[in-house]
Amino acid sequence: MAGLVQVFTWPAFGLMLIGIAIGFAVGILPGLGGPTTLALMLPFIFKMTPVEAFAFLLGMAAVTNTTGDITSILFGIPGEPTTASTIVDGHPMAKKGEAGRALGAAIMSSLFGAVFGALVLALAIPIVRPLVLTFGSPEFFMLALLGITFVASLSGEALLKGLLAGCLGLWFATIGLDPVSGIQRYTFGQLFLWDGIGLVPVTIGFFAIPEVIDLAIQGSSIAQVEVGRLGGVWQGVRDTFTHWWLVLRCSAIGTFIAIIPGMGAATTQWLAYAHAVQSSPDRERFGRGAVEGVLGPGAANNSTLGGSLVTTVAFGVPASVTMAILMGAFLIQGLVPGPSMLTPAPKGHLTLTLSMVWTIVVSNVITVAICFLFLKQLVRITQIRGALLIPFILMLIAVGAFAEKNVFEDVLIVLLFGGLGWVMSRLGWPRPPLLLGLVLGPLAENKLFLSTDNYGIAWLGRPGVLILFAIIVAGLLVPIISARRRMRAGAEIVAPDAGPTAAARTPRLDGETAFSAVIVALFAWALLQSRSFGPRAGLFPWAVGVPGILLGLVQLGRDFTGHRERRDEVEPGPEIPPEVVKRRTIEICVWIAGFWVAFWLLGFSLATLVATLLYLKVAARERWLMTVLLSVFSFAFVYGLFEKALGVPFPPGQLLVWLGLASG
Amino acid sequence: MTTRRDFLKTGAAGVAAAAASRTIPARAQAPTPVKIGAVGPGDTSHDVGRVLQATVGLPIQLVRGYKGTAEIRLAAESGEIAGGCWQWESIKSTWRKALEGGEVSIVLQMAPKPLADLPNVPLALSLAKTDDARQLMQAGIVVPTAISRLYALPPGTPDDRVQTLRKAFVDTLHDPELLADAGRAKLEVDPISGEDTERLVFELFKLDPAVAAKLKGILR
Repeated sequence: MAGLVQVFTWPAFGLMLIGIAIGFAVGILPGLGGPTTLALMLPFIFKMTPVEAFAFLLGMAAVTNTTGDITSILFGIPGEPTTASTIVDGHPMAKKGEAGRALGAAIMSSLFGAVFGALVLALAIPIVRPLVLTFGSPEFFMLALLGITFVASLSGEALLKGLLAGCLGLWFATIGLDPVSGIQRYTFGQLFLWDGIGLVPVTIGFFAIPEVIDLAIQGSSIAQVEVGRLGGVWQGVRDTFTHWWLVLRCSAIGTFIAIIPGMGAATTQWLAYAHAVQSSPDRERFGRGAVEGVLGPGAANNSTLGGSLVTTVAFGVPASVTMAILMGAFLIQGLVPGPSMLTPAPKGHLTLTLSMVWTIVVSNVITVAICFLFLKQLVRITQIRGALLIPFILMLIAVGAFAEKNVFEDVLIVLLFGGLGWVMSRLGWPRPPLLLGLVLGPLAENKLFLSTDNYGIAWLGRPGVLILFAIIVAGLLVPIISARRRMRAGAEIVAPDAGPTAAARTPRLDGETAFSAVIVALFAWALLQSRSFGPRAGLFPWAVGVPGILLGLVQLGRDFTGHRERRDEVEPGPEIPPEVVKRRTIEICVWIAGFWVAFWLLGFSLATLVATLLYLKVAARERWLMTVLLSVFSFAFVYGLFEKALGVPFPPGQLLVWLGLASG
Repeated sequence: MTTRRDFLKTGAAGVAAAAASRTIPARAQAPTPVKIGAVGPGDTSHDVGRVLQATVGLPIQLVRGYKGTAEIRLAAESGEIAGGCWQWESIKSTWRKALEGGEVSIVLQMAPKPLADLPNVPLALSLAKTDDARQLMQAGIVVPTAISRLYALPPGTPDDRVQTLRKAFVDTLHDPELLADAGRAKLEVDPISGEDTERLVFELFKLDPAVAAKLKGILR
């Protein structure tokens, strides 16, 4: 109880409230990441006591994932890279008019997860040490592979595409300077690529741009149907309790996976989502607005904080960037993470550790209470006409992509991955494995290199590696076998020859074949390039490229010969004639390009004003009053909040530089 | 050409730590190389090991790729590697419990003279048998570990500015408030002056080209 009392003493409680307020805003705004904000706040803790410092920092860190879920559900833009998986079912729920339910479920499960993680933090530290020390680099590498194949295996009949997407993600993770030798890999001599491709622009582009295109095609509000009370917030809260066992399991996934160094919420959210899908008897509902798809990641991304803190507190080994910054806070406060954190005073700091646990619990309770006050108003956003939201969402995408590293090139990356995400969603390629590959790539590469440098190829024979390999193979084979069984059973019921027809298997040279060919060509080029990297820097590109090209060739063969998996149309809403879909798609793509050109030529603030005005007047044909009001509001949002209040150093517009009105 | 590039650094000295109590002679006769964790080329954890391998023939296998000393510590504790080499100030702070409990031993120090709190730990320089080895150690271990955290100004910076900044840094690093903060964080502040740093750097530029070429090959 002493820990709880300490949290409620003044000024620790006040500082926690300030931390919560900052974390709340940072979580909602895409691009402004929790780690960046934590780092910016670090200098303020020098004058604080340890309890005050951790109340302030953990209060902030504990809530970003909860509020990040809000942006993911409402707009389809991940508020944080750790809340991307909430989009997969949360945003379709919003489209179905169930935004309130999705938000209620996300926020309640977040609270559940956070409390679970905090309790584990309190209980698990003494027993976790032998557990983590059992794993060596080879086992960590296999665990990373297991994570990717686990998520890829959810792709059902499109398993091959799922694995290929995972390979693609792992390959994207190799772009940049090789971490050991410093050799440039696939950077095209571009300085901004030295640091690799950022997770934030990729995640935002990957999910948000296809949603914007879809919103424009549908021509309606985000919520395409009204479902009344069923879509309400309290229904989501009830769902959390109805599915309490799933929420508990996903909280456990979040916490215990996060104990492994290198596995943060960006990973655990997907594993929890995969588990939610895999454990459901009705998998087809997922991706179309299944509340379990929100509950799983909602719980896991919040329970991760407790798990990550376990390794930081117990070993002094930060499991994620957030934890590395908190580790800095430990050192600033003169604390050495380790067994002393569990020893009562005067020899140790047990009370402080318990105050951390309570900070996570109390700050989440406060955040959830605040969220519930505003949820009804937030849900109304989904009933606003899409045309009014599109310019605002585009601005958020661009600003979010820029704000992480303050480089304009990331705004182009967001567009590139937006295009890729859209093509993949159109052609039935699963996107989560690619994202997870990108997240786990650096860890997988690092552990593969360490394993090889340490043991040669002998690491392949370690018992832990063999067991994990068997689990991976079983995880890939079981869905295939059960799918075949289902198909056979279905075929017997429907008709003996209900499988792919002979016509369907004629050679096809269409978009799907072309996309697979591009993937094969990409891996071939990557392998060719990697010849000059040397054995150190080339190991991982080869380890990814070889299976990538082989799987790609099989996929290309399948696409060309017409062996295609059954694909369901997942988008709800009224039927729209194909020619209208085509016209609206081209129009929105041109507008997106126009917005990006405006950001480049006029700078972010002015471009937001001009492009929003033009879009609302020309494309949306809004009345002047509404057009001007919204344009000025958007401008004030970018200029006032991002440029002035947060001091995001937007580059000046190129046109203004050419005209001598700004310096470049 | 370089002018006034280096003007201050905070103290650091590389120390090889092993997660078990063994001595250097015992290790030199070990039948299999001892695994030492390292970050990568350019980092103390890597470069010191490479120079020791080349000059003293220390039977060690460098396992590269760890992301930092925290990972090396964890790997040493799990038995994946035997130890590592990095700044004593850091080891003292982050591995304190293990040092006090005798789970970790300091086997070698890379400083030019024994550190005050490690009077009985042998110096790497004392193991060098030839002049060549001593030169390689001096240039590849002693000088780089002595100037590990330095601040540099661009060439051509006016001398008065260099002097102002040098004084500002020295004054800051002797500021009682800063020292109190550092003390609270159990961090050691042990700066050497800009003049001394400059002397050490210029010493490297005067290195015999043959030794420099050999060192380049070793550190690759």
